Amino acid sequence: MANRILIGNHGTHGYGIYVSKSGVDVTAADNDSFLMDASAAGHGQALFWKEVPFTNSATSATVTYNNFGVRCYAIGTMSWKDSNGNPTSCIAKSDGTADTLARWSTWGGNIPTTNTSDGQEVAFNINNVDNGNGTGTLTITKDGVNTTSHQMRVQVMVFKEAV
Amino acid sequence: MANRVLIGNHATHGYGIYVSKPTADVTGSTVSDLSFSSHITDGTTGITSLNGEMLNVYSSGYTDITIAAGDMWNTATVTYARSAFNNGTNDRCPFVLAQMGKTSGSSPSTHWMPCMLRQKNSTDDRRAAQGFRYSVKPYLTADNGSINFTAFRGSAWDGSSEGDGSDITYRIYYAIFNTILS
Repeated sequence: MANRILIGNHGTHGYGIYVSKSGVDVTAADNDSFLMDASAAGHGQALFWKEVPFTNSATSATVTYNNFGVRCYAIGTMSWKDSNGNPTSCIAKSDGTADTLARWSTWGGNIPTTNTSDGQEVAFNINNVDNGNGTGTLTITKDGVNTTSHQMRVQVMVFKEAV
Repeated sequence: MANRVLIGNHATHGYGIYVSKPTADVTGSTVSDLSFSSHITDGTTGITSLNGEMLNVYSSGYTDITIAAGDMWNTATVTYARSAFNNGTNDRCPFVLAQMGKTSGSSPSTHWMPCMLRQKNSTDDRRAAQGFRYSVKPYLTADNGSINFTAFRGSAWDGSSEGDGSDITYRIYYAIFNTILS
């Protein structure tokens, strides 16, 4: 069985804690084989993954969070209205209950669309600010055309590491 | 040399495992000096903290998409059991990442992250596009969630000989994470 955990002085990477993947010797030099690597600047720890709903008329929303004094890395995805109806929440659903309108994607529908009533042209942007007091604020804004005519939802994930 | 690992009671952050960034002392109080920390939490109203969860993979795999000669896009769907993300009452939505390989096989020559430009005319037959996209439908059926992929190539008149003259197969790689939406 391979050595999997090293807490101490790694022959290549120095003092720290290292955990290798199954079947890989943690004392090896290749840190691509590590699950945890103390020589890394960060470990991609997630602070939250939150869904932010927008009504038809809403054009922006804010999310304030503890950012530990840095402008944290944030990524977003979205749910949008299509010809089947407005998007429903992706957060949770009772056992055995289907919901075909709950879905998210890296972005919305067709660009451009031939039918501006279905909301597929709506997009979003995120303004990410370090407030300087241990909190950060995300301002999420609808983008595209007919932004006040369509519901949408934005799912934003924020990581501990600074941009 | 700086202290790099603390397993136990951190004077500022309490019990846990802490790893500092190279050259930083793990016993310090500055959170941004830590590459891994057990103490992360957030009680801000409206925030459901993941408490510093790492993106642990639930499952991963791939699916191939073949675009026929003359066509410029095609789709594929992968399903997964919703029960894997159940909390005893509700199923929840997992985080998913995907990328597309230029050709199928174990070592595709080029990988793309999701990006797609798709423009079409009013009759929906002339288009210009490149890349791929994916969407996640976590509650598509009573039992399964799905990941839906659409791959595009070049620009073409859909369904005609104006497009590329031969089939092409792309391979989509995906990873489903235990990270839950709130």
